[in-house]
Amino acid sequence: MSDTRPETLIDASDLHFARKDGFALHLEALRLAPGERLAVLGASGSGKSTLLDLLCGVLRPDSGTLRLFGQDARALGGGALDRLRGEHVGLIFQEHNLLPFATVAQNVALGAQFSAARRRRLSGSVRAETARLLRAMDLDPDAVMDRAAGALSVGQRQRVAAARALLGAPSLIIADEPTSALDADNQQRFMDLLQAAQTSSGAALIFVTHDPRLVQGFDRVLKLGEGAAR
Amino acid sequence: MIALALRSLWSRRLSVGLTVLTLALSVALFLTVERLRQSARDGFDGTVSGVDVLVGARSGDLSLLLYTVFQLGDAAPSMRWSSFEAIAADERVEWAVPLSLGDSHRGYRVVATTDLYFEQVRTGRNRPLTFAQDNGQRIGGFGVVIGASLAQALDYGLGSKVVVQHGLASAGNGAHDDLPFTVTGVLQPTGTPIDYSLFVSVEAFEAVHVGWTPAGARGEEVSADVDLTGGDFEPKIITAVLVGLASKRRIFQFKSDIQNSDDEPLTAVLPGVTLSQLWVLVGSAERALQILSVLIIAVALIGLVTLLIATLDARRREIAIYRALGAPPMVVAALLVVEAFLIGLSAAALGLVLAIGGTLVASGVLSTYLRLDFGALDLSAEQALALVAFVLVSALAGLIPAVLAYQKSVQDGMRPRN
Repeated sequence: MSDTRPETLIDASDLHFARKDGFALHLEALRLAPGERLAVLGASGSGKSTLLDLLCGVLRPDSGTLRLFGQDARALGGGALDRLRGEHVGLIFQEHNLLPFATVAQNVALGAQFSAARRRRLSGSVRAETARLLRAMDLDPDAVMDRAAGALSVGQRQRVAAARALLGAPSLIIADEPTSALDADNQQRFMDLLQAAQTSSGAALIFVTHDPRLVQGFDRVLKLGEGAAR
Repeated sequence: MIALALRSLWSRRLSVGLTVLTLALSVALFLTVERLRQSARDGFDGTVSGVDVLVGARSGDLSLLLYTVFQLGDAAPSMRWSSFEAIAADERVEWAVPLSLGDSHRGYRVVATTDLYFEQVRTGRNRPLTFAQDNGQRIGGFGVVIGASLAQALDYGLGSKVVVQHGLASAGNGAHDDLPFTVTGVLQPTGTPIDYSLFVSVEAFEAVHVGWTPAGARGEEVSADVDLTGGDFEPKIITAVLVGLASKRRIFQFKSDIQNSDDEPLTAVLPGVTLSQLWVLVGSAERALQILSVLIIAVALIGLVTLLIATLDARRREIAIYRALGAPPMVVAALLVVEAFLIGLSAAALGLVLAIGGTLVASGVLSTYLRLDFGALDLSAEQALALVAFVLVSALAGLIPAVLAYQKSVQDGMRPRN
């Protein structure tokens, strides 16, 4: 795997995927360049999460073309897709998905645990870089680093999850409705912090939400309808 | 990653702790059963070391051996003293030691014999009997030599007075309290029934029984300062004779000659052969015990796999996080295998500790009933190997949930529906 970022992170065309429950997703075309911000907007059941799973290599399309970070995703095996995701993608989940028994520092360090490339991209030690990212997320490293993640508030956990996604300078941040559990004030605060950190890192951002108010400031908005992306 | 695995284990400490305890108890049971089995064998085999032939009145081989040497089972019939003299005079016989049984002291068996017993009888792997305390008198006169465990249990030492009881009654009319014995020697521990025995001379044994009738009535009496060396107290009957032959090659001919003697119907027993027959008799029970303990471990290991699989559902988010962050299949598998290894290792260590404690506790109880020294757990090479195998199998057991974990989809863990 190369440490240099490809010119086109995602290049998809005529993508088709059908789930076992009958839901089908069709994406005519999507290209994403480094540093770009793409908002994916859609109601519940419109296929937002399925699209994200395709774009980060968790799912493989049934047909069409999908090149992820310069590689044909349909030709890659499961292990290769895992490695690709580990190296290039920072994930922020709807339910933050931190390990509640682990400390904040251990949770953030997981971001570079499985990728040698991401570890190489660290400018300092894992702990120092973790502290820097926590500060970028408006968290006091001295206060939270060694606390169990389960002891934090919902808003703090989501910011820790963002720090984990940013560790090791991935090419792409994918955020799957990360603000759904936050109140309005914390939603905006989180968006501001995330966008600032993303800009600073130079990564592209795919932000999924069902709330149109949150897509301001994005380069493009992809709207998903019932069963298909247009 | 190891730190994370340990933290993950700690977060599930109750269920993991109970599993470790279950496995540890299985390991302890396995080790203890094996130890008791081996101790029983060593104890029995070691008691008759150095004795080529055991001769007694006509009876079953096994019952004669068990009664005279191990003090187990029903009393053996008596044989004539003259038969002992004839055996001792046989040119093939290097040494012959008479044994008379039947009396006791506070529940411990009294063995009437000669000083030759302490020179010729061996225990364990040909270990001679040695004295922890000895005034040089041995069992001359009314001297008594006592075993180590008995001395410890009754707090006896040189000079202690011992009143011999007729039969195995612990109190009552059968006490020979007019002729007390004095402790003249205390033997070193042997791990055999010798440790629980008292040894007196056959002459003294005869003297305390002068005037006794089967009903216990007493006629003439012997004073405590009587001279036992004049031949007046030569016994008429004894229980058995321990024989050492000059040449082992003549052992079967000697046995045959004894069995076919016209003077008195006698039984000659080759202790090693008879003990082998005993092990054949109890061998199936031993095997059943071994199989049972292995099955217990197998059931415990199945319990370990069940626990790991059961916790997979609760851990699917944890595993999905690893996978979503790029963890390769090997890392997820290794996580569960390492976890199972740590559980197995903890269980093996705890099981060993429990087994050591268990054998220490059990040895006291079993020594009292079987008069054999079980001692502390002494881990054999085979048992150590079995422990290593147990830990490795525990680790391998982690592969089953590892495969199941990887088969679960990532999105199932990332966005669980319940």
